[in-house]
Amino acid sequence: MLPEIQTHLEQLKWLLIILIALVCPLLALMLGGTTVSLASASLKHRTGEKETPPWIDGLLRRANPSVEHDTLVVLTIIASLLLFKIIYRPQLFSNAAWIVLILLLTAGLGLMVCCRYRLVDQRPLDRTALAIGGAGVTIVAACCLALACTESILLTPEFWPHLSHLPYLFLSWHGFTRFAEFLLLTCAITGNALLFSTTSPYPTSIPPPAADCVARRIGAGLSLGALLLWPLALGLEMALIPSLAGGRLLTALAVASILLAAFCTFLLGMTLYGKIHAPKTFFAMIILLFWCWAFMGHVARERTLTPVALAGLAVETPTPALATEGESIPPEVSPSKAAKVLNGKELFEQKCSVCHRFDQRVVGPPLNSVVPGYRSDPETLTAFLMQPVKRNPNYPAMPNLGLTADQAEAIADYLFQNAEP
Amino acid sequence: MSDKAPKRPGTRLRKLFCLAVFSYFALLVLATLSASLVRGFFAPPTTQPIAFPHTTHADKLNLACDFCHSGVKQEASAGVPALSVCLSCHRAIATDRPEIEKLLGYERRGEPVRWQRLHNLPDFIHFTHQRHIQAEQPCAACHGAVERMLEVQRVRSLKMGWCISCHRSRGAPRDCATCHK
Ligand code: HEC
Repeated sequence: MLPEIQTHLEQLKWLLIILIALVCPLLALMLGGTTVSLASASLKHRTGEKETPPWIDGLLRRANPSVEHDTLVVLTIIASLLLFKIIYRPQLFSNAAWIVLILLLTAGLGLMVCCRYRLVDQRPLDRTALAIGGAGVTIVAACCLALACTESILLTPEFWPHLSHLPYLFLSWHGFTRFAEFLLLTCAITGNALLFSTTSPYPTSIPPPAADCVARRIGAGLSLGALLLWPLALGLEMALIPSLAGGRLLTALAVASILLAAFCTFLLGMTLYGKIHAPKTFFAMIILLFWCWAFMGHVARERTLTPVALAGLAVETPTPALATEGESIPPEVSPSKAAKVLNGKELFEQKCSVCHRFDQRVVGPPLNSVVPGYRSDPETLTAFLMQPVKRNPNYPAMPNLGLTADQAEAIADYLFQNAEP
Repeated sequence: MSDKAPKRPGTRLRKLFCLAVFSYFALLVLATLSASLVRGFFAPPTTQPIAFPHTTHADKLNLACDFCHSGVKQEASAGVPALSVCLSCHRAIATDRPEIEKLLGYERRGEPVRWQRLHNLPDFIHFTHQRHIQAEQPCAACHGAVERMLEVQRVRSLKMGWCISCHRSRGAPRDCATCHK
């Protein structure tokens, strides 16, 4: 269904990593913003319109989303999921499963967008709208968890063949850690939005600055908490990541992102003390954290998903079909085996000439001394070539070269033509 | 929390707080580094004493695995081939290549080749190749496409969870004594 792409794979991978790096912050902003605004709207709903503490209004206004990028988010997510499937073609899930995932994600995002449009219009949310928004957030978060686990199981291709029998293999501590990291980054970027948000227009009544201050503090708390927990999560990830995926580059990235988080904490502290006001730097640092996170996933995948490691995994697919399809399986078979040209000379040069000459002993006996003996009985020669048996005690055994009957016949013909006498 | 401070600066407290946060991050950098170290992420790749190319033997020549690893069908360990197995062909073939000269050098000195083992199982595990070959597991299921590796590498974790998942999905025995001594 999806196109088979072999060339430009490297460029495609870079495209994917750029897309992921783009989509994750956008998604996180959307998820975090919606959650905060939903939470504050439901608080407002519960306390009743009249007695709403002013800080809730402040929070709501600060978290109040801009809707422009929502469509972009949906499109980039779908694009990167498809790209993922095209590049890695994991024999993990059926196409149907991927489509269901994409649909679920789109549906969840759609619900969130609906809810946000109402919030943008400053309309109060009723119970159904709240429920819809909550459902959207839950679905999107669940999809993110599923994606984090998918990313994690990609790193242990050895488990793929067993996944259909043992679906629970899909969940892993490493996957959960990656998801937790995503949530932390979401908290950090949402906190950043709450802390520095200036775009939200002050509508009718200007709230007392104290209310705004609470919203700012909540934002700072979110960011600070996330940044402080970040190194813990990364340490956990380095302890849990499948051993074959780990490497120096991965460790370097992990350490770099911890240092980055430390720098962010420093910036945040300075901001809170009123020493500096650097919303752009802070935002850029958090985006960099996202990139480290996404790039770590890429590095780990590149280490484990090598062609040599992936070989031998397809064998688990149900075999009855193979009998009828015959030769159409060989993505796993190397080109030299697949070459079906039954050219006796070529085959001989490929397979036999290392050990045999016609006129002299190499590893095997000189063919001129053995082949003529078979002239009266060519069948025995082909049988020997396909299934060598021990003949002469002065030589080591000849290996079975896995020739097919046709190949053996072609070689035997060549031998008979060229052997003297 | 910390933004209560600006009202009453309390420089001492602030400094202490900064120090605490700084040492927290430093500690976790160390923890991450040591986790990677313990898990061998910094280990240099193992190099073999002789650069034996599986690509030539298993792919180009298409030799069966058990032509050299002769124990694989009857014994617990597939066995790294003895020097004599290499020499049965290489007394005659390609004797002028540097790696083959190394091989002949080992023979002259009567010294065994110290191949580095990549597929190590703990001592308390009892693993037999024979049983897995009998169960018609292709070599690649656990070793990957060895015929495409210029230098052999390990491509499976060889961890218990993986063994179990395969045993379970194929209905192989799963009591402890099957694998544990
Ligand atoms: C790895 C080295 C090697 C390769 C590759 C090889 N042979 Fe041999 N061959 C031998 C050895 C060693 C013997 C001697 C075996 C014995 O006498 O038991 C032998 C024996 C023979 C014999 C003599 C059998 C007899 O009756 O004594 C023939 C014929 C022969 N090989 C043909 C071939 C052909 C054709 C190919 C290619 C498809 C081939 N060999 C590939 C090593 C090799």
